[in-house]
Amino acid sequence: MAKIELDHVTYTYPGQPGAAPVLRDLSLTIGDGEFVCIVGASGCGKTTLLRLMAGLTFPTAGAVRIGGETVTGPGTDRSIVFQNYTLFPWMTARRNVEFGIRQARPGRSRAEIRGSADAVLRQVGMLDSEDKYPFQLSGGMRQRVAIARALAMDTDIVLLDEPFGALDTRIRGELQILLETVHMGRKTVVFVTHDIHEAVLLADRVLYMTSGMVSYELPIRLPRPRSRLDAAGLEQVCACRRELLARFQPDSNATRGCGEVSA
Amino acid sequence: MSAMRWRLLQSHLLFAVLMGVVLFAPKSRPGIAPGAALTVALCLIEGLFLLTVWRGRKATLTAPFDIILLVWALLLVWELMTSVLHRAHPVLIPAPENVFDTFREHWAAILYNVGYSLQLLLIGFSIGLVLAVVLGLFAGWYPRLRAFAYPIANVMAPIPPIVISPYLVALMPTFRSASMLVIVLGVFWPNFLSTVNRVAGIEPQIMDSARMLCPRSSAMIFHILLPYLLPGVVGGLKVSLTTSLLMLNFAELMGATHGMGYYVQNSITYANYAHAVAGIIVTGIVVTALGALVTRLQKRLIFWH
Repeated sequence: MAKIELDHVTYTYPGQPGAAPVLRDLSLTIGDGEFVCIVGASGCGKTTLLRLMAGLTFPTAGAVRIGGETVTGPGTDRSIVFQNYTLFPWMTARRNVEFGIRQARPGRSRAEIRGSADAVLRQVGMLDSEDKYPFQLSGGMRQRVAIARALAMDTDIVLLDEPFGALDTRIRGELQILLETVHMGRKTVVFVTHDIHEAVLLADRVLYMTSGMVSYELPIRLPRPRSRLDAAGLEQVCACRRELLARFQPDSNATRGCGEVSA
Repeated sequence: MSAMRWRLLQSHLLFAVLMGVVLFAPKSRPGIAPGAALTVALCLIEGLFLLTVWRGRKATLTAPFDIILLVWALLLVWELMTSVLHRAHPVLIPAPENVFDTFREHWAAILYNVGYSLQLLLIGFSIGLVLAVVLGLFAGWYPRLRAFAYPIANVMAPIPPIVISPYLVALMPTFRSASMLVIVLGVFWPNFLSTVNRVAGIEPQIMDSARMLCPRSSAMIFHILLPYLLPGVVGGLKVSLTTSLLMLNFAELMGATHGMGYYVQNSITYANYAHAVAGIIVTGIVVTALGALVTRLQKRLIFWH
């Protein structure tokens, strides 16, 4: 069943009617509970696509539908993690997270909100720093709190725009596992990244975008959780990755093994 | 000898000379008031200086020493020229003894007038600021309202309320309401403009986050917009407060019967320049104290900035 539907969407930046559209006649269906990764070079329209799904901006032509309804603005069924940390600087880490829950789930009691915030802050490893303000945290820590805030809202759809860019490898790995766990709780996840390895590891389907269109899509049929893949599974990850790389970086040595390349 | 000790010695040498002159030099000018109040004032300044040095204990500390040297030197020149050598105009330039004796003699009147001015200031200031932030918030938020209000504000804001204050004094039923209106206008327009600008130019990332969290409009106003505006408002507080005090003092020069400006003006009318200078000193102290208060407030309120 389609959760997110883009129907012949064209998007041109407002105020630049003559300019080349960022998205051209893009149609796309994302199923309920699907994990989709969008990869592609900078400027290919990944972020715009995400913002359209979020309801932060609207298509110039075509329609974006969530659960069959045309998107008219942000909703409590969606949460988003932006590329650069966008915590409210006047709230502590915990207050940022609790604020998100309180707004998205107004019926919850104080204790419930505290409980959910505790859980998600622990999951991202920020419980020790819960009383710090964003200016007291490093970039990576802020991003973890931003991720915690989005996940704490417990929305059906989670949108992420290169959320792990500022994080070191270990934390990145932990959060990838966390994200997969969240997804396995029947969440639809749309994840924008420029890291092909990460995309293959996480996604049910990888979409490759070039100049405003989905130029290629690759389903990843691997069992979950992906953190516990066996040797055959890992070999399959490498194969998918090679396939994507071969298609879009024909000059590069596409036959390299996984271990030799950092994407 | 460390540099700090040397600086301390310097300032205290000058202090000793000044005290010696005040206490022991024969007065050549008639009508010099008793030196007790001046002596107490000098000791208070010295105490304040020592406190500043002690709190800032650092070998590189120079500012308090430089400033106190200048203060002592000026006071010494003033004292010598007036009461000791009798070289200054006897009416226009009062002796320091007489100026500081005013505080002893007239403290009740000074305190009353300071209180009166501060009361007017705080009421007018609060009304102007709250109106500016609340209306600025709405005008910044709704594009149509902004397009309507912004050009008007741009015309109104640069008109100095001081210029129209004589008319306002004539127009309003009481002088009190007139000077309050002067302050309200003076605080309102610049703060209104800056609030509109800040709301309209809110960081897109903050705005996107806020919209995604879908706050009800009340949450948007109280948890996002107001805290976001706070640094701008509080940052401009010091300037606003000082200008409004200036405007108030100016307004009080015209036909007021209470307040600091009135006190100075009235003293000048009766050629009582010792009182006038004392009033000016008090005004300076009040402005400085208000400024210090605002600085502390800023640190507490906008710690995240």
